Amino acid sequence: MYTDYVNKMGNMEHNLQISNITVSVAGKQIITDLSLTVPPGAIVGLMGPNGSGKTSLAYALAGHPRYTIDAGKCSVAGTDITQLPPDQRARAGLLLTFQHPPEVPGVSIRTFFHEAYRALYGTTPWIIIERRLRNSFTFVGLPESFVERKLHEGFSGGEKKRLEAAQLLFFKPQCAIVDELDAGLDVDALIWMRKLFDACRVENPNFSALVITHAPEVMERLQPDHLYIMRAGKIHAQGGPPLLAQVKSAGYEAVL
Amino acid sequence: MDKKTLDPMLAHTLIQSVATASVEKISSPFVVSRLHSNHIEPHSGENKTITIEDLPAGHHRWDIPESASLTLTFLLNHPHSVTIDLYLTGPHAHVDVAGLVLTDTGTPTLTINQYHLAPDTTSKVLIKGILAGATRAQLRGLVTITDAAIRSTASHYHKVLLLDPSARCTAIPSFAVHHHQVRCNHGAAVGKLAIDQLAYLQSRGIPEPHARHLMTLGFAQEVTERATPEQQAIWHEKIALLTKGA
Amino acid sequence: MNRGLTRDVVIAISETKQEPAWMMEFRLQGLELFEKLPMPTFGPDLSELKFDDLLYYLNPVDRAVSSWDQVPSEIKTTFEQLGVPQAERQYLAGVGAQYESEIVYKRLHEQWASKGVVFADISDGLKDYPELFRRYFGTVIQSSEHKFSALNSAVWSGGSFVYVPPGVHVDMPLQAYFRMNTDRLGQFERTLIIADEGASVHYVEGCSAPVYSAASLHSAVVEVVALANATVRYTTIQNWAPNVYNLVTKRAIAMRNATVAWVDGNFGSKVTMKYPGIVLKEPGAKAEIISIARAHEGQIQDAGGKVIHLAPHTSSTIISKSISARTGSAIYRGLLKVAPGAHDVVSRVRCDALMLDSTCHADAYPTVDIANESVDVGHEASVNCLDEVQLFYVMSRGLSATAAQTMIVTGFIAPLVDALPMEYAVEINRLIAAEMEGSIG
Repeated sequence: MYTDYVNKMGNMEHNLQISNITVSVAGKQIITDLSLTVPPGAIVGLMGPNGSGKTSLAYALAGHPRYTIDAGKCSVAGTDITQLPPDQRARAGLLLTFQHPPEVPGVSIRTFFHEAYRALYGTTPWIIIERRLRNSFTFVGLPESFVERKLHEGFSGGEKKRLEAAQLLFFKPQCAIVDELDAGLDVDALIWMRKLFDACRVENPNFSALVITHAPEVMERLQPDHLYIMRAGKIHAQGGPPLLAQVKSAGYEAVL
Repeated sequence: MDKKTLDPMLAHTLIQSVATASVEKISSPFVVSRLHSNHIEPHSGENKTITIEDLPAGHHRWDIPESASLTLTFLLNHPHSVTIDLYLTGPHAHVDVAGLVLTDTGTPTLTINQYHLAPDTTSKVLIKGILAGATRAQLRGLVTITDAAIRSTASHYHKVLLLDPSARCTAIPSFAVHHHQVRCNHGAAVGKLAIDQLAYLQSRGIPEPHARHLMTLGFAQEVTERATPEQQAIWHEKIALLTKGA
Repeated sequence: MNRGLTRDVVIAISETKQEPAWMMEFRLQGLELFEKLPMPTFGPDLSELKFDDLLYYLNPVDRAVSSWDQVPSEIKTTFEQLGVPQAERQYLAGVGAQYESEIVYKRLHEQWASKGVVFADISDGLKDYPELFRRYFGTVIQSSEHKFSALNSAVWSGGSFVYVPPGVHVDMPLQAYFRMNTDRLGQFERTLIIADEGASVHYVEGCSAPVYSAASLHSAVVEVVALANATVRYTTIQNWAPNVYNLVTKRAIAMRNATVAWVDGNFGSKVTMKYPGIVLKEPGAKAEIISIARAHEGQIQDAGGKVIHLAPHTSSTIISKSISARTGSAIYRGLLKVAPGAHDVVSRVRCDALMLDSTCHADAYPTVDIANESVDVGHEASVNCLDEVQLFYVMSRGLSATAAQTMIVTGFIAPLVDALPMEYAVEINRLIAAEMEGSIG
């Protein structure tokens, strides 16, 4: 259970450690020999042109049924998740915000949030979970009435993003993978994303995130601690702020 | 393979009929019979497009083998019975059918059966009916998905426009599904020209008969746009005969 | 106890119930028709039904199982999973005496009587309200319609008679087991509900706990008459034990501005054939049919709905959802018919089937029969399996595979479960959860 991990805090294992993984989907290899680290408390950026495999990596890490990790290892906060089913990866502390979350008809948001919380953290009084749910909605600007609605059913693009963002706050993950949360939102939304991460860190100082985007302006506003650039299923470059500045001024070709 | 001479019944069609032998024993109770198909079919891996300006009465059949696809568009303009059987016999076979049924008399019956006998096959059937006069049309469809047809997708839709008070339609889209990892949809919609849209066109100076004609052409467009301009012109004329408003 | 159906059996039934001559005649005509009419030409295989082997009239004493030990263990396990109280279990299993809360029901009966509402056993209805009874009995469903309506006409026994006077609204649902008699496990129930002008009533029968019955054929007939401006809602939750053939004919006639709703939950039986129907006879009438079916372990749920628009300015909706798993078969059979004089009709039919594994089956055979151009009619159906992306999403938030599947399946039937009274909604959800546990094991 995740609470066990919290008790282990102080042990400086990386929140996300990917070592030389190879990923394939429908028999085709799409990620080769990829390594990446997200230390506790860090915001790490992952950028690359469209089709570089960023979302595929996110799906493979979260345990999407179509993606297989054929070689290498991934661990979340010290737990090897490479062959675990998606729910156990969540329990290890991983949370993926989906770029295109599916509609799940007939399942009310309240039911979903309450049951998932209890699956992760064990029996908890209803009112505690409910309060947590409402606070996370308020933070992302979703009306409280939305808890009555069905999971992503009939949501606009912006509403879907907000519901995904609310989950970052609600589920207390150790390491979040944030997949193109900015897509379709304006620049102001990015301030909001930064605030969201800060709020997560208030509750858990070791909270970290792997933020995926393909737009350099977005990454610049976010000010990540470290940056990886991906192309054709591999990491081609990594570095700090100077790398980001380079990509922003000269495009990907300059660094790849 | 023999090339038959053109059958007078098929005189209006653009294809020649070719005999074919395509028999496979599929998991029961679906046995592909020894009936010869009476149309050109795509070969394995081939994409074929066929447009039939005036689909003859009787039984029609196409077998679509592995990785082949058939795009079929037709007009049915007589009050007799027509059956179309589509067999998707090999993996990744696809068929896309759009048909227009135009009648103002008699009891036309159109039956289209889609049989998915192999994995990863898709079929799409859209029939638009424009019924006038005292016609009583029957549109039937059966989608059968055998237990071998994993990851297949099928759809079958009937949309019918009734132009006159005595026109009638019975639509029976059905499916029988034996494998769960499939997507199957069907639907039937029947109605008349929307009053508010008609009123709008008239308010812009278009006389009622012509407005009805325009809206009917609009309704038929999903099918007619697949035909060549020459064919479309002929089809529009036939629609005009029904709407009496060109 | 004689097996098989003969004139003597029918006469004996009528005499035991001390019925008037016209009813005995009605029964005998039913028998004649039953012998002449053929078995249905569509639907599941009924060849195992041996009419000569059946008992056609069981006294309540004969019908009940004589001890708790005789009740099959799967039934007992399901009671356990559903949390059915001990006393209720025995009662539902047909063991022992009447349900203990007679006092509660007595009070309810007094309340209704003061408003002129009649809620009685059907034989009492015949006895105590002869004119009313005779005016409507057999008018909605004729004996001659098919073999099973004829059979029911011959041997019906047990069921409800409900009459609601003009303008009276019965606020609390009338529950079949309030009838306070032991003739509850009726094989050939006959129910007649009459809502007079402007009246409204909700009738509920059945329960989600499995009902064990020694009799293997249940062939009921339900007739509903909704007069002008009346509203009738009839909810059935059926979970017959797996030995039962459940063949039911239910139909309602809706008059001017009346509304009739059938809510139908099919969870049990070996074979169910049931197509609740509504005839919209006068302008302004409305029909609503909501059907959920769960088919597992060799069950065949052949269900659906029929709406016939005879009058203009009428509307209808049919929603059907089915779940099949573990060799079960769910079949939707429906009819949407608009008669020539019925203009300005709006109708929507939506059926969705969910197949959980590769051994099960889903079919849909709708007929849309339109004889008037001035209509707006649509029918849509789909068959799908559990969406893997939805499953992945839900699991990625910490829910186990079983919990995720249960959540999605519950979501699938949610629109219908929401239409049920609360206690039933809770029970249905528990039933589905138990089902999913069993599926994944």
